[in-house]
Amino acid sequence: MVTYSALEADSPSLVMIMTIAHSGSEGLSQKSFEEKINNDTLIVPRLKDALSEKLAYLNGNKYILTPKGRIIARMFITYRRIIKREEKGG
Amino acid sequence: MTYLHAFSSIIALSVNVLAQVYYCRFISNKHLLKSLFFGFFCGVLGFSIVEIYYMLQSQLPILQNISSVVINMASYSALGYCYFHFVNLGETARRIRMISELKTANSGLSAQQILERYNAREIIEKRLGRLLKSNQVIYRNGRYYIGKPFMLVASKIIVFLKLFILGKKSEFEE
Repeated sequence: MVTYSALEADSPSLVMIMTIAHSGSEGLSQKSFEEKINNDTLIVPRLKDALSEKLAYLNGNKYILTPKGRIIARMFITYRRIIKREEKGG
Repeated sequence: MTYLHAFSSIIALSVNVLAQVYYCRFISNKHLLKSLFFGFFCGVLGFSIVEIYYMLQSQLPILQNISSVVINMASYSALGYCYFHFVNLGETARRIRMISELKTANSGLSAQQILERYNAREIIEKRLGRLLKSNQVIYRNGRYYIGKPFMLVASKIIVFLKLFILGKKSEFEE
């Protein structure tokens, strides 16, 4: 699967909002943000998913796209080019 | 004529996509959500034209016509919803961004190289920017606070649904 149900994976915005909410009236500093929400919580799980869903495979320590991953990536890159969204998504 | 009616939701979706792409290319590519609303509305117009034309030509009883319009409109709305999520995936999905980065690097990337191109800091900056812009989060004296409650309420509902359906509040809980 390329997509998730909204419930399956934690949305970064949801995690951020809940983290700020839990800090209560004291608020949350930028440093605390980075301590609580980092690559281990936002990126690494999605990299593992890319492998388990066969969008990519590991060759040594390098992630390489499978044909399926290549087709999906091309589809989104082409679409974004058509609508002239030069800024990368994500 | 019957075929036109049968495919009215597909025709409307095509109008939706073309109008949304037109909006982004020739009006503004900065307001993606607006372009999606514009596209959907144009699709509804296309849908209405097809359905009204069909009704005027059709010999069927009015109730039967109305019921088929309702079904076709529901189909179009569902297709429009799927298109919205396709666009949204390209805009916000982390995995799509990662595989896009991998696609541009022909010989593949290590985890470290991926993190150099796309990382938690960028994700936080982008989303925090949106939350601050919409006043869902406010920044005061170097700290972040909850502003308007909409996103907080939505987040709490999602957490409740996670707990109810999946039995856990977060993907990181065992």
